[in-house]
Amino acid sequence: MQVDAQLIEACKKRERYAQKVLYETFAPPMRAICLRYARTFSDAEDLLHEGFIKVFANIRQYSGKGSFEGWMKRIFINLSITYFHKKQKQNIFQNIDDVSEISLRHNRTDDEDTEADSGMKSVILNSEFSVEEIQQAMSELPDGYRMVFNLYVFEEHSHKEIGEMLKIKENTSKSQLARARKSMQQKLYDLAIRKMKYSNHDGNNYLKLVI
Amino acid sequence: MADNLKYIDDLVRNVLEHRMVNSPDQSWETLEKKIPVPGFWQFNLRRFNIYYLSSITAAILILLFILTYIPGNDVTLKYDKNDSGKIALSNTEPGVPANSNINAIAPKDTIGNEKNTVPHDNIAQPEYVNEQQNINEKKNKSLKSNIRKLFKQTNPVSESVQPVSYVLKDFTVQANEQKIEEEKNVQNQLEYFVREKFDIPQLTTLGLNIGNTDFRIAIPDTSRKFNLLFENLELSQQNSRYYAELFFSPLYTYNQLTAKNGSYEELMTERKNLEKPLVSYSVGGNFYYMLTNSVFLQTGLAYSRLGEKFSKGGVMSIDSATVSLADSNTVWFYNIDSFYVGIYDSIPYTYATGTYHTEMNYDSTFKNSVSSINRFSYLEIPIILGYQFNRPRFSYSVKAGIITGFLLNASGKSLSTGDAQTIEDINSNMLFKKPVFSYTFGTGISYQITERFYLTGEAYYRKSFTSIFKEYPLIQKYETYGLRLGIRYGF
Repeated sequence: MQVDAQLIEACKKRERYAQKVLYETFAPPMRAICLRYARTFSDAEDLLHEGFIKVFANIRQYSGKGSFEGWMKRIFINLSITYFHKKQKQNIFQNIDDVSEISLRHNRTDDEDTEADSGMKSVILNSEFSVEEIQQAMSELPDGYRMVFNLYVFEEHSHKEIGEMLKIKENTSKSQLARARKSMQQKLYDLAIRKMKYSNHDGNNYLKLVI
Repeated sequence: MADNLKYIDDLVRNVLEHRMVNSPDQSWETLEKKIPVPGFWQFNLRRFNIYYLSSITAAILILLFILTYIPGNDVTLKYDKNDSGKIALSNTEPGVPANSNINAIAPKDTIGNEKNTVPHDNIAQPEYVNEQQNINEKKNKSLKSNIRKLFKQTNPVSESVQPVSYVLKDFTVQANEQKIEEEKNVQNQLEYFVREKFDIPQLTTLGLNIGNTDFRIAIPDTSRKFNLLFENLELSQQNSRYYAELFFSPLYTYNQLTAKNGSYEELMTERKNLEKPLVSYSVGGNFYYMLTNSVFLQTGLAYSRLGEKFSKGGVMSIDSATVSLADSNTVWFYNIDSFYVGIYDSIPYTYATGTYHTEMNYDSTFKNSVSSINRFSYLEIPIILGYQFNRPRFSYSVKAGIITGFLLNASGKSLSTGDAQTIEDINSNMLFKKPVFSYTFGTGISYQITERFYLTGEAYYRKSFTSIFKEYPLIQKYETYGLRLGIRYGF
């Protein structure tokens, strides 16, 4: 998204009308980013406002080199990470024993698990999900899973970088990502099954795939 | 397992990566309240702010104080009339502070000794006036007798010195020119003693008796007449340290407009064409504090009402329009440029399911015009520093300072910032800054009508520091020319 240099200059002078124009231009994409990192809409809105206050306060540091949107995005992501650290009251990176219950619940072996994943994948890929449904599924992830997932998938950081940002080990980051994917898969699969049930008008209630 | 689940990354990324979520209502307004207020109230080395202003004001006050303060010690000189009103005070005894305003004059027992006399050009000249001489004579007679009494009471008269006679001579209001010349040429030392406020409440100390020390005052060039009443009047002016004033000020204010960028040039041009300043007014009160006899600090409270005329006229031609009706039996209206224009109902219409709609074709022309008086009310607090030149009954002043204006109300009409054509109501809450800071300078005159009352007049200029708007594509500053008429009371 291109930004008028005059607009940035006006924002550097702290002119309110310019700040409003900047907000109205960049609030929609930045809000979407905040929604990915926050658990609720109100948290995302708080994050958004804090982010813009920081943008307005530090805009003089923007030298003009590189994308302005990228510069803003960096601020919001760093703020999200700070927000995450603040919200963390205990180590949310669960012991692998706790997380494995997803597999254990179904009493599956690893091979059976792989086969189950394939089945779920087929169901998920054959279903259509709205933006809100995907967003909702992400919001339901535990905070740690969601942070690692966002930084890896959207910001394309390596596990080493994620470890440094979140102050965790590289291996922990890898395992958190795996768990996040697993959790997302399960949620999307459950959603797909529910949608199939409700869309069947002839009263038959059957599943395309049996797990 | 990890590879099997990678499809989740792609699925989520494809859906959410370029997502846009629109702002809910009032989102900007909520954020705006959280944004720290920049500028004037915050310390910033690179921006003029209240800390700079306070430092500059304090530096000016300190400088003025240093330049004008005369340490009084035990001697008070209250003649301060542009270097021409000081009476030289002499002292031949040790102990008088060196910074007293003194000229060395021969001791009383060596009067006439040329070695110890002081040239006249070293001695300050008193002021004199030509007015109210008859009144002065009566007061002088009283003064003379009091001085004579005082002198006799406090100091034995030395044979070699006959100060009383000299005193009496030189307090003559209308001195004879010839006598003046004689006295000047003789270079006689003159002595007299005046005790502060001894039966003469308006007379300030000219000299003082410290123990047995004799103080001598050389009356300099007596070719000038001086008027005791004038002295009394001036001293009564200078005795007032506080003044209060009520005033009325007609003023003329026009808007200085500048576009913040090129896309708003049209708006600026249109507004300049459509707005005409009106003569407005300001009323209020001022309070003066005399830092010295000449330097004063002024503050106060004023209500100012600025006005301008906004008028927009035009002719609009309409060929066709489509209108949705509320009721087919009503007169139909549609909106042109914020004006409602009535259309009569002899127009064919067709029905559509649920709503009526019609198309009208006509070539009527409508004259649209609006005329409005825009009014802006401010409560203003000035902080002004001034210097006055004192004359008998008159004083002239020059002053400069800062005025803080708080917007009370704004009403009227203006152009929309969107198209520079549509007319909108002025919304004082959203648009204007509170407060607005202006600098001002002016010159004034005051005339003493009684002992404590003065008539005042002042011409001043004033201009805003920054734009009066907080969120607007144009920079607008007030520029004001005013005349202030008032009545002042000295405490």
